[in-house]
Amino acid sequence: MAKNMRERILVAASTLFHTRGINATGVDTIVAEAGIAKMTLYKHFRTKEDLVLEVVTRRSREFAEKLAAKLDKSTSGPVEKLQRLFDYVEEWLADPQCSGLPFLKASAEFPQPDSPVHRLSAELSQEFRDYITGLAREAGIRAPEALGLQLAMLIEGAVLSEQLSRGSGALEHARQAARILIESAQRK
Amino acid sequence: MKILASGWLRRMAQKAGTTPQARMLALFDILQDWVEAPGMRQSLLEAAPVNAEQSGLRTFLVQLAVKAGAADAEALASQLYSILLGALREELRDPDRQALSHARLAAERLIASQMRGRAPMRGVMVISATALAMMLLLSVFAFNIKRQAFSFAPLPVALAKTPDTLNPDQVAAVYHMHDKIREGECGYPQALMLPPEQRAVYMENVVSGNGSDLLPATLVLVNQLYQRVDCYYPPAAMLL
Repeated sequence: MAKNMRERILVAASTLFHTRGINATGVDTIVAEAGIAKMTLYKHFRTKEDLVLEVVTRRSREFAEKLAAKLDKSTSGPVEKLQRLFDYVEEWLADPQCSGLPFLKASAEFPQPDSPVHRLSAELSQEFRDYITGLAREAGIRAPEALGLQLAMLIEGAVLSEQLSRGSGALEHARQAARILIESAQRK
Repeated sequence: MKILASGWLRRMAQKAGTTPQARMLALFDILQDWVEAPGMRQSLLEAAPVNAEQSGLRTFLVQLAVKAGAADAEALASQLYSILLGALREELRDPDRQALSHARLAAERLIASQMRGRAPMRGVMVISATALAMMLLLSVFAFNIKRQAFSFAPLPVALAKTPDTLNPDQVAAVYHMHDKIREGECGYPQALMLPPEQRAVYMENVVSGNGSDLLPATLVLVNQLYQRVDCYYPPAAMLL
């Protein structure tokens, strides 16, 4: 029961954070959305910040796990995996439940470097970059960190750009760019 | 973030290079210097996050990409814009990672890949650079030399590829317009303002200026579309 309650709070908060933004969502709104008493919320999460940290972690893990599962399942070579990254980012973004990459959104809302949410989202985007770097290393690319960083920046920027004007083709263009960068990194 | 929408950034890039390629790359250097100005990082962290904005920067990048002769100018501009946004965010998140200089390297590759197979254009650029130097000496006189160099060089290459059914006068007109546009400050009509069936032709043949794909069926349309591009040609003296 207690576990269900916790889950209910997380689901409600997650939905509200991505539709309204994290800062714009008050505790009262979360309580109302989850249909629980305020005391119950504080029993499970000491502060709103604790709740935010947990939501961001879970959403990011979900993204990372889905991405890895799909890449592992559908493709063979590591180079192909690198190239297919964008397919799955696009697929994830197309789901109305997702709207943006969870760790990027959080870091945008908490730009102060000493904020725990900012630190967490920096860590999570580091994990994402490390994952891409790992793929680049498997693909035998000589400077995998550089390519990992470039692809991660490209994804982040394209997602931002796409959010501003849906259908501008930013992701599609970024996918082409990724192919060029991967090919040129392979040659070196 | 204000900097991306600012005319200042565009002016600095304009000043920083003489070729469109150099100006595109200069954006990364300028932002790097700007972020490193004393106290800037701190005040940026306290300000609004880096977000995509409806800014002149995108349009500026499209113009530079067109002038550089990119195979797909819209795509190149969009790619550079995306990596610039991502890099600026990363730069603020972790200064030690040198995000902007890695992004610059990526930008160099993206630009180069769009110029591949465009060797004749590079030749023309050398000629035009020479012509620009001559203009310093000859002023208005040399302006005509530069024009000729521009419209002359790409023609033989492209004509060899065109099928017989293309009207040579029309093709020449298209190339002439394309070269002329590169010399001016031009405002391109929004593709969305055109009927849907004309957009692809417009983007491909007019905005990107991809002359090798001219088709007999669309040649007249391409010429008509060119007429809608609104250009201002600064007098030769002002180019100096």
